[in-house]
Amino acid sequence: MTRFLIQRLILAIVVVFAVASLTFFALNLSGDPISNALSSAGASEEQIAEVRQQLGYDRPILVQYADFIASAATGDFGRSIYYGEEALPLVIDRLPYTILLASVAMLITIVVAFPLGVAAAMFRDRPIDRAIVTFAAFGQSVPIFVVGPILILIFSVHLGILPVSGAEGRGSVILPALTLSLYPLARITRLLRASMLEVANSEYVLTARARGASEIRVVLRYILRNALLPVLTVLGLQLGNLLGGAVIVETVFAWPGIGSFTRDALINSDFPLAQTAVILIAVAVVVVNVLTDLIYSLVDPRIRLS
Amino acid sequence: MAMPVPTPSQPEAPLLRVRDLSVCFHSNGETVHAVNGVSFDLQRGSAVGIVGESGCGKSTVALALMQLLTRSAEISGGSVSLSGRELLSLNANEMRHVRGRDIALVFQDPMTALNPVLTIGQHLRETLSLHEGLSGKAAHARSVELLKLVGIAAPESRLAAYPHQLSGGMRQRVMIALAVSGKPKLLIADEPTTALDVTIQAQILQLLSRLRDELDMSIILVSHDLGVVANLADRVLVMYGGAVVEDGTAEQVLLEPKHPYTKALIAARPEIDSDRGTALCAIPGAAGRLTEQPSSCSFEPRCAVRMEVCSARLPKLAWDGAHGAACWHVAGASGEGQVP
Repeated sequence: MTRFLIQRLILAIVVVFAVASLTFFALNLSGDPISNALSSAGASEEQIAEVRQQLGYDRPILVQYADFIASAATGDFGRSIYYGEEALPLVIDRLPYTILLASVAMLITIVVAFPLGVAAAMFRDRPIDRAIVTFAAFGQSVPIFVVGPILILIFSVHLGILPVSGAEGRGSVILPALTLSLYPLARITRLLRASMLEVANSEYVLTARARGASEIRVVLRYILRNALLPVLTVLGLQLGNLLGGAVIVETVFAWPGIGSFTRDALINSDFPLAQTAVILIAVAVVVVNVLTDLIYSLVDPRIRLS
Repeated sequence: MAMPVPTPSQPEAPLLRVRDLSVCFHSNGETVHAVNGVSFDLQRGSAVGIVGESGCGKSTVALALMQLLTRSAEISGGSVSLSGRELLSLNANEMRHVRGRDIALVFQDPMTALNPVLTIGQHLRETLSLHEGLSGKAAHARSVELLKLVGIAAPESRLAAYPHQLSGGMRQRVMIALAVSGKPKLLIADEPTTALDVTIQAQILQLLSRLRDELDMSIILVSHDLGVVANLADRVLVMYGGAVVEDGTAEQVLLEPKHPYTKALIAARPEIDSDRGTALCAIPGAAGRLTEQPSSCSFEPRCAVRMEVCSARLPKLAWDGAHGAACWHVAGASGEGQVP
C-alpha cells in the first residue's frame, strides 16, 4: 500500500511536469504574450520592448522555461499579466466553484445513471430498455451548447424557478451541473447496462440462482457488484473530465470556475495564469485517478495495490 | 414411450420421475429441438449418470430440471415430479424455493462458479440464511461444519478467503458444500470434475459418493466421461441427439451395451495398455443439428450397422428387463420396441 502510494506520487510528479512543459511550449507557440496584449491596446514598439524586458520575456525561450519550471517547483507560479497579481491565489479562488460544479454533476450522474443502467439491463429489449438506451444515445450526442440554452429556456425563462446564469442565488449550480452531467450520465448508463448484461451470463450468477437466491439478491449482490468494476474506472476518468473540461458549460452559464477562467486567461494571453490553471487541473486529475485506484482495490478483492 | 415396469426390488415411488421432457431453443426464427422426450426415474439415495457427447442435450436436461434455462429456451412438454410434486407447474417463486433446498446443482467450472467479490464465508452464510434461517454464530458454526464435511482442512481460516485464493479442487469442494448446505434430496452435478486434474477428479468423485451415503441424497451426474460415470452411477442414460438412446444399470450399459452409439463410445475410450501409435477409435461424422423433430434414428448417418428402417422410422426404447435401447437392431429382436 505504502509502496503503491510512493509509486503513484512519483508518477504524479512526472505527469504534472510533462503537462507543465507541454503547456508552456504550446502557449509560447502562439506568440509573445506582451506583444499580443499590448499591440491591440495601441502601445508603441518601445513600450512593448520595455514591458517585455521588465517581465523577462526577452530572454531565450529555454531560459524562460528553466526559470518557469524551477519557480513552479517551489510553488511560485509567477504573476498574472492581466491582473498583475500572484497567479496561484487567483486560480485557487476559482477552485471551489469548479469542485462544487463537478461534485454536483457527478452526484447527478451516479444517482440517475445507476438506476437507469440497472433497469435497462433487467428489462433488456423491452420498451423500458429501449427508452433508456435511446435517451442515453441522445445524451451522448447532443452538444453542451445546445442542451445548456434549452435548459435555461425551460427552467429559467419559462418556469422561472432557477437562475439563468452566475453563481449567486440558490440553486444556481443546478442547471450547469445538469448540463454537465448529461454526457457522463449517458455514458455510465450504457456502460453499466452492457457490463451487467455481460456479468449476467457468468456462471456464478447461474449458481446463485441454482442455490435459490432471490432475483433482487442476484441482481444487486452478484450482477451489480461485479458490473460496477469497469464502471468505477470510467467514473474516475469522467470526474477528471468534469474537473478540467467544464469550459463550455462554465461559459454558457457564466459560472466562475477554473474552466471559464482558463479560457479568459488564454484570450488575454495571460500565460502565467493559464499555465497555473492547467497545472492545478492536472494535479486534480492525478489525485482523482489515485483515489479511483484505491476504491477499486477496496471493491475488487482480486486487485492488490503494489 | 415405453417405460420400465418397476421391478420388485424398487417398490417405493421414485424420488424423481421425468416423463417425456422436451426442450427447444428459439433463435433467429429457428427452433432447435435440443431435448426430445427424455424419461427416467431416480430412486432415493441412488445415482444416475447421463452421458453423451457435446450438444447431445445432457446439460440442457440438467438445467431444465432446475428450470434455469436461458431465455431463448422453452420446456415444450413433459413432466418432472419430485417426491410426487409436479415441478413444471410451479410458479417462479415456488420454483425458487425448490432450488437449493430440494434440488442443488454443481457446475463444471469451479473457477467461475463463485462470486469473485464475496468470501467463502459470505457465500455459505447466504445460503444458510436462505434455506436454514441461520445467522450469526449458528451460521458460522454450520459453515465450518460444512467445509469440514467436504474435506477442507483448516475450515475456520478458509471462511475469510476469496475464491481466487483457493485452488480449483478446493473451490469445487466449496461449491459442493454450498450445494449440500440446504440439505437437498437431489444433487445434479454437471461435469463436476471436467475442469480438474485427474487426482483431484478422483477425490471429488469419492466425496460425492460419500455425501450421497451420509446425507441420503440422490445424484444426477452429467458427464461426457464414461469412467467418471462408472465410478458413481447405479444407472446410466446414454443420450444422443436430444434423446435417450440407452438406459440401464451401469453394468448393463457399460459392459453389455446394446446401442451402436454406446458401443462406439466405449470403443472410443483410449486404453492405457494399448500400443503407442495405435490410432484412437473415433466415431465418424458429427452430430446433426436438431432443427426438426427427429422422424428417424438420429444416429443413423454415423452408424456402422445401419439398416433401411433406420432412416425411415424413429426407434423407441425397447426394454429387456430394466435395460432399454432405442435401436432397430434391438427393437427387431423384441418386436416393435414396445415390450418391457
